[in-house]
Amino acid sequence: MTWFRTRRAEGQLDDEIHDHLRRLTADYIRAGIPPDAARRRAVLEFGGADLAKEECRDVRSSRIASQIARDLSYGFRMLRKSPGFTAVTVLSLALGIAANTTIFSAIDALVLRPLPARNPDQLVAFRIDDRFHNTPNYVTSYALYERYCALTDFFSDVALITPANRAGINFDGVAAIQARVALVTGNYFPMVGVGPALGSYLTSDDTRVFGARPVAVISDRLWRRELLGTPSIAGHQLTLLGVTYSIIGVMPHGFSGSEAGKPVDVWIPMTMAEKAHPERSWGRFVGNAIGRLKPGASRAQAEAAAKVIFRQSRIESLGARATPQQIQALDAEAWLSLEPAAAGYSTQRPLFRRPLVILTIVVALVLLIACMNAANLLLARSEARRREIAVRLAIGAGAGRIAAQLLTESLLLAMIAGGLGLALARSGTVALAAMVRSGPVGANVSSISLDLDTQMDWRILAFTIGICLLNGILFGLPPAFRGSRVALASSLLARGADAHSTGGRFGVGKALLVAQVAATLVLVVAAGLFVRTLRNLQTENLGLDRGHLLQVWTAPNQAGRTGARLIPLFEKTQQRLAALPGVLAASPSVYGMLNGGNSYVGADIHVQGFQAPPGDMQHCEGDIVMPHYFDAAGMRLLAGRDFNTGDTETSPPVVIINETIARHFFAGENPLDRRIGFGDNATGAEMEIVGVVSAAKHSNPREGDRMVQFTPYRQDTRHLGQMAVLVRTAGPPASFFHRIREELRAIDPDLPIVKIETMDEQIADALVPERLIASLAGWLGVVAVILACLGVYGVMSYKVALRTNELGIRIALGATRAGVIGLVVRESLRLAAIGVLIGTPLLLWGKRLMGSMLFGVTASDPLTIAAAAVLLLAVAAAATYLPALRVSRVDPAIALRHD
Amino acid sequence: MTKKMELLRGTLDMLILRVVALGPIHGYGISQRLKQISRNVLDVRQGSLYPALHRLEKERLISAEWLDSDTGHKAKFYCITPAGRKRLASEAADWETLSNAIGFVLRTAE
Repeated sequence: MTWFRTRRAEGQLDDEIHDHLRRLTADYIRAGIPPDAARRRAVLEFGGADLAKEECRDVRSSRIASQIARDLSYGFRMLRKSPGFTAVTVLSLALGIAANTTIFSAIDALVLRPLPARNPDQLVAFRIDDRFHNTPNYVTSYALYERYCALTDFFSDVALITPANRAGINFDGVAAIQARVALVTGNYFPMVGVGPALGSYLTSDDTRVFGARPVAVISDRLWRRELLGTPSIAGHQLTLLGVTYSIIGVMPHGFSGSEAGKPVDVWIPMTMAEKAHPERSWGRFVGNAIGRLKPGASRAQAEAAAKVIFRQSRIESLGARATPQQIQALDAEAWLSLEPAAAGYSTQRPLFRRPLVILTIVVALVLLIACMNAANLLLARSEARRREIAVRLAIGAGAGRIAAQLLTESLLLAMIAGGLGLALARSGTVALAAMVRSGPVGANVSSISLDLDTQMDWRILAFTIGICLLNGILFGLPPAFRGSRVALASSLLARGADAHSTGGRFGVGKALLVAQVAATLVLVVAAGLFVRTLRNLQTENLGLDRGHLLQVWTAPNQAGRTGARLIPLFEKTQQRLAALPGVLAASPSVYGMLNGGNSYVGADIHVQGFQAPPGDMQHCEGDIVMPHYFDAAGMRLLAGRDFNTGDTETSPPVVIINETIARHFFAGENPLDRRIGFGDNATGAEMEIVGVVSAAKHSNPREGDRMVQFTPYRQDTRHLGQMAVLVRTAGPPASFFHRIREELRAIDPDLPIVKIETMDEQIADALVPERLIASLAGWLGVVAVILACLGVYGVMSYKVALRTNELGIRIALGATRAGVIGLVVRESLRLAAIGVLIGTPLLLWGKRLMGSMLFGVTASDPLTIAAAAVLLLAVAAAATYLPALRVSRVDPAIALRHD
Repeated sequence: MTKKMELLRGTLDMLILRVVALGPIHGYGISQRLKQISRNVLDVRQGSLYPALHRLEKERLISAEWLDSDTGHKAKFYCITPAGRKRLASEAADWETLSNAIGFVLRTAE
């Protein structure tokens, strides 16, 4: 509308001025002046029609809007006139913006997005940190939870929710699917303060009597997928572990539980626990406690009160004969805090924090580089446009208008790039989400898999628009500022005369180029370090024979079977899989190899006859395995024997330790036949050591030498629940996937098979954060190098063009072509070298940040830095060679005449 | 030749209003009329006339209409609005007071 009005007003203004000129001319003709002269005189007298028009426009009401519209259309025309420049700038900025938006989306989903709850600031999670893990947990027993509930002075309510567990469910008797199920206390939904979108949610009435209310509330996602979003949910049912639950409600879109990155699909009452988790007795039941602070109660007060209860319950667990030393040790082991849970809680945040910080810096660097590159290209172009700008100034455009025009152009570029970047970021976010979701399997460990809700929200949009504007202004300001100060006279005169002053003028461009090289160096070195880290981890000696090895992850506990009942399944699985043609060895274990998590027990080690020096408390991981496990893994038995069929429930308890334990506790002695025990209450007399195996990585390739013990499956039936089968094959392992799946189906059609993957895939899954950083930094490093190439090319082409005259004189005076090329290339090398010199100290500054993420390489690795520096210098030389070659081929006679 | 005088700041609006108050008139007519009435003393540069006209139009002191004119082309004719008349009256009165005062000072200060 405004646009239309502006067009009309513009036309009328022209008409009005024409009318004036016509009348003036007519009057002069009437006075006897010849028509041509009369017209000239009229125009002369009128004096600067454009200026008058300009001032008329200035008084018009729609002035700002129309000015922007005109600047925009002019900007569009200018961008269309140089498609190469536009494409390069837009693409590089779009990549930078897309990378930033992608990382921001992940941060938003994991850390920022608040729960759709009432007053989310009042929500707190009961967080426990311990000294064995680098991630927190939120595990609270039901008994402890009930004691927290009594703290009514500080909490208006406390609820308990179990972590979302994958389970097989049936909808209305058909379609078996995997869904994440959580059990909640009846007050969970009212406490969080989020109502159902459809039907009703669970309330305290549903959790009064054990096993009495088989009802379920489902997520919006599950409702849309399985019930096709039908508004009538009455009568629909789902079956979980043989129990049928009526679906009573659907939670709103955007609510997927309170744990970030672990969305819940089905919520059922906590009182269904014995049916939904048959492997856990009610007395051992645990969940995550989340509470709402009373208005007026501070988090610190509530925390102090909760801490007292937490400590009491732990001291009570020691029993009546607890010594003060034991209590002291207990206090130092684990501690409680109340964590603000407005955006939910997550055990994954600490694991992903550093990668996300690093990625944020990496993507910010890329954007900065793209921005400097754009500024430089714009600058070079505004130099080329000096004449145009000078003409516009001469015909009466104000300096402010010129600056506004140039700024509009850069903002236009930034916005086009932003739109493209946003589209790219969508696919980037999906790819990133798929990557973090692919984390390793492993139920009882804090797995590093994340299921991020990557939907677009206003924060992401605002972030993208924000960085676009910031960018447009950042890279638009230097050219705009300078464009508006174009010296009229010298610009309208021959350019050659101006070339000398341009050297100083173009200092900004040189400085930008140096800064761009410095930033690119930092990025390339970081990319090199992370790619090498990933390679080191991937090729790290795991202590096992990883070729021709695959692992099958199954979860009989999801089908409700645990404990001694699983012994036949374990045995049958080993028999039948080992008998498959081409399979060399197969051995089920409970926790599986390289599940990527932290330790699952970290139990204390007690060795009979070994008095640990004070402060030397060793912790140990372990697994429950079948015979031939070490054969399958490719670990060597260094002493003693493997487990065999004689190791049963009734035979003496035995254990196989790895060489790391043997070295620490039995240095120089024979560990065989010695006795050892694990856990808080162990005396050291529990088990007899029958074998020592070579050390191998247990959880992830990054770990150092860990102490690991293995027990035979029939002697630790209490922990049987999952089954991970290690299979060594004669041929490529992937070709066995199908046959193994068929075989397992034949053994037990109801056995949930979670995943079958080769050991290499397993390792890749365990290295998700490393892969994330390496791939992103790697690709962005390539982009940065290309941008550096373009930047150098753009600036040097321009500089060379300005020096055509001078270089022509040199050639005319006898300089060789090679000499001229060398002259130009040396200048660009000098700039690149300054950039490298500035960039190197910046790297040392980032050393602390990257240090702990690196593996097998240090942040100040001279080889990587030198390689990156050489690469950048080579790029600078190569990018300059072409313009240098061009100028060296110019005929001196032409070059001398070049203005 | 008569000495041409620069207009005092702010007085151009008043003069335009005065001319437009006589009846619908186009921009060229206004410039000619000003020259004629002031006996060629006042020379309004076109560069300031049109911006002033547009400003007055935006302030709704004058209104404009495209009408057929003697040249056969349509021309933009300006008319004074009631608000314009009121403004003209008050400015004329102010000017009267001011010029009297200045004249008085100049005459008596000798």
